[in-house]
Amino acid sequence: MNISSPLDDNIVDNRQLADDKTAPRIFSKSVALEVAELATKFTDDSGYIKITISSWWGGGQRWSRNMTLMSSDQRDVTVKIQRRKNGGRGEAQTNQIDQASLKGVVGIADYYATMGEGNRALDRMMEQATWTPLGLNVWSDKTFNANILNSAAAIKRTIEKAAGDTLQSAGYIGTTGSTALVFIRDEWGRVSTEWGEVTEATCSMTVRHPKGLGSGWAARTYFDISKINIDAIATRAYEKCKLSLDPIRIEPGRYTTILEPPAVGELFKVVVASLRRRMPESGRKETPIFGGHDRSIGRFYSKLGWKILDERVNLYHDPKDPLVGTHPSVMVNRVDLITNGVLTAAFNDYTHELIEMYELNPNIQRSSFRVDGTGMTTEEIIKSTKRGILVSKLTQLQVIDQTSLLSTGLTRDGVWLIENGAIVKSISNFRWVESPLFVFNNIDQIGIEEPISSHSWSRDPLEYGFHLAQTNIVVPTIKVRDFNFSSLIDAI
Amino acid sequence: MKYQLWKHLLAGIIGLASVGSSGASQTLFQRPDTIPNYSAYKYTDQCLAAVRRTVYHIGIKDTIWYDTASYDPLRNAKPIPAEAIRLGRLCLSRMSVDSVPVKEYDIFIPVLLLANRDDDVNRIVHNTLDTIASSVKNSLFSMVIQAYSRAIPRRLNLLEKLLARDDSPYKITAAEGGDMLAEVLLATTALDLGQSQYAITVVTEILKKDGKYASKLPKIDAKSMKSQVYPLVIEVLTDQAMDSLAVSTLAYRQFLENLWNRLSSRPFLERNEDLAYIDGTLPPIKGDFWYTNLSEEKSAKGSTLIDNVKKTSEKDRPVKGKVNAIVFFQGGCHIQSESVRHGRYNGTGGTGCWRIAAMVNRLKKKFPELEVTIVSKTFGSIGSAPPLTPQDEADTLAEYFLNFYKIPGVHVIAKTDFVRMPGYDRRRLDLEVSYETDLIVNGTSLGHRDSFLLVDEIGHVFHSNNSSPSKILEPLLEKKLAAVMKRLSNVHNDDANE
Repeated sequence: MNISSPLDDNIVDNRQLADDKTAPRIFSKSVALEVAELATKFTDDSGYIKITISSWWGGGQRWSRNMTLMSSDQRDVTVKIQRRKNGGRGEAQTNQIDQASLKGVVGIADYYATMGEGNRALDRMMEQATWTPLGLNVWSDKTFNANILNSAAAIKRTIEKAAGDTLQSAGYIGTTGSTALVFIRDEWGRVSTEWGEVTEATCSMTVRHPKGLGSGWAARTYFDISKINIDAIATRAYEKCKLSLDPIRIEPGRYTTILEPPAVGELFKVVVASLRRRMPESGRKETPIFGGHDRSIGRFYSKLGWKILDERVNLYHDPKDPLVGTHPSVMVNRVDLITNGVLTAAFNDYTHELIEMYELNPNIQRSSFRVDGTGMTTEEIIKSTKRGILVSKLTQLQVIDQTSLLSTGLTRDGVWLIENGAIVKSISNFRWVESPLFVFNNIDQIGIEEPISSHSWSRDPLEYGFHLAQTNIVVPTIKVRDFNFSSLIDAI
Repeated sequence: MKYQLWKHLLAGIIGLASVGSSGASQTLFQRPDTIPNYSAYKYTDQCLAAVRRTVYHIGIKDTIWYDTASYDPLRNAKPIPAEAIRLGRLCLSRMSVDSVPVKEYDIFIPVLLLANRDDDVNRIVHNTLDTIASSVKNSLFSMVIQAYSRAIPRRLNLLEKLLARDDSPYKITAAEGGDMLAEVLLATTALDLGQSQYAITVVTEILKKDGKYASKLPKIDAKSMKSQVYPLVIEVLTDQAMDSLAVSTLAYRQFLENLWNRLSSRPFLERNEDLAYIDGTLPPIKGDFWYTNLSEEKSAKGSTLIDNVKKTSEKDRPVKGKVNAIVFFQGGCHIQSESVRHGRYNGTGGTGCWRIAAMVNRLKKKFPELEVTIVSKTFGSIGSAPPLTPQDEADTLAEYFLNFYKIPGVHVIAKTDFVRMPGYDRRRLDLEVSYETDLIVNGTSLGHRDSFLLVDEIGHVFHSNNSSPSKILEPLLEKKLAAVMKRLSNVHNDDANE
């Protein structure tokens, strides 16, 4: 398919796009603008129109049991039309890029805008909006043009290394590139466009003993594939697997514990998910940040301004942070949730922001964040530990009590006993029962922060819609006192 | 592994065979029968349900939205449709009335009443009461009284006969301090049938009993006393109340107070906040934004108001020399969703708002000289629109009440100032607006809740209702208003003659 002329009258099956090796994988800005401008010609000039053109391409290789299973190449283009006129609101989308389809999809959005329920709030929103799209550009040509032969060679080396030790490896190496054009023409004829482009590369692998006697895991996600050292990840997973072989069983209980970033990330996710203002401040639910009820003013309050974690914890989301990342069409601001252990902001939705704050600058909930670390490496932390446990990863996490965030889960991919500043032995996995609030109030040391791979969603505040985005969590290694391991488990 | 495979295969074959053989006997879900088939019913509850369905379906054919319709005090006196009576009789024709066990009376008696077989009901009830054990007699009394006083139309004669029995637990001519339920039941039933003279006789009996009933009535607690007896008495004695109102609002207030003091041991003002304002003088209402849909004044240049809503400089409310209706909308009817300018309403505020609006419209139509004033305040937000300036919000609210609800009158809106909670919280804390702090009648502040006032020509409150006016009160309200209007016209005529 010739992408420069997608607007012929001929209806083109989009599935052909993937078969056409000569076609560009994603839309350039000029092509997206051409499509957007054509779409506006199918409407009258009244009302508001927002056209979001998202195109993405993704490719990856997957292997398991020391065999390559899959090599993929996927791509799609979505044109989403949002119309508002006379208080009505309509929305439609398509992935067929030709004149007839565009005309049809604009017509559907127009129809719903005419027939649907009115909501003038959204009309006014554009008039007084205090934020603008970020136009996020986290782009790497190296990622977009990555040679599949390079990653195939790395996978081959990984497999050979594992097979040489009668171990089995499995994993995934993938790259994606996506662009988004947001074209807005408002009720007053003002036109604005935002262009964003993002690439992402991810590498994740597990090395396991064929009889389940040990396992190791390592992963990395970053926008630039040249900064991802696949061999280093493979070596880390391999060495963790080797080190975790033949575990001994030790008594469950409270131990000084070094949690590596994947484990810390799981616990912080629970904390971040609970930081919502509306529930505690409307008195409907006692969440961990519920502050109580003040009879004198007749209001419920949250723990904003209270110290809820150790004073060394700084937790925030910055959409311009390339390590954290977000979807190019998502419009969010920076939010400092926890500063020096004090809860300085919490997530807030439109209604609460509007009614309670008389403002329109909400901290829409998001799941990617960064926790600041120090310069201390994990090895240095181990050296400074007289007796403790090193945990690679926590898994199967369930929150038992929403009020205190008491949670339970399992350890996975390697647990080791540390004595006198050195790892002495691999130990059996545990079930743990602990509240992240307790854990992060018992911090001994904080290490270097690292990005961990995490799939999550982001939310577009303007349209109340969700965008799937592969966003990162950046957290440090943390050593805590008295982490509660409740029982031994047999799983590896 | 092989064994397991065979096991699964075997289970599959057996399963298939069993499905094939039992397919015919499988019970399929059948929708319940909702079409009345009176010749097929075996039990009385089926009859009752079917007749009620018939009444309902006949009724909904000409149903209007009763929230905005004026109240019909005789709705329970109207006979049920003849078709429903015919079907009820048809259904009962195959049943022997005398063989029905007592435990089924709670269903059977309503069916008999629906079929207009009052004689049969009277006969079996009295026969049963004569023979039944005394331990269960009271519960049978209670059940039958409920059936009589809830039947449509109400069965006053049957109720009277029942209560006149010697063994009735509820005596009509009770001694001082005795149970008053019988009188209340008779009076309410009579009022439902429009027999107000009968009710007056009964209530006069109540009033003759000199005593403080609230503390002595075993069956009616203080709450039901408030909700049942007191409005009943006022309603029954409306003519006397109107006489007092024709003299002055002070006389009306004294009449109500005396009445209350005879019925309750509690002080008059403490009990009834509505009546606390009566005969108080309403100070001038203060506000920051004034609108009307009546005057022809031009709206200010640049205003976004729609055509029939204007800003007004007429700010003297209540209007002296005229009867005023003052409606406070304090959030209960506050617009939660805004599509008003586009003529689309997303439906919040509840039917109570419509009821008040419809009632005010009816009163204004019947008494064109009534001056209507709506009082409300800004809240800082409307629906999910971005923060509005007080002026913008006031414009929208004025459109909402004056154009969308079509309330004819003047709309006063007070600007709500606010402070913010300290620290990272920064939530908005609204301060009291001017009319909430300044509007004090009889020592009690007004304006904190949705309320409705009628104010006479010299600024005295002669009716107040602290919540939305109920349907029951509307006819009474009309009578009061008519009395005051009549008095005013007499005064004007006298002035003219002089």
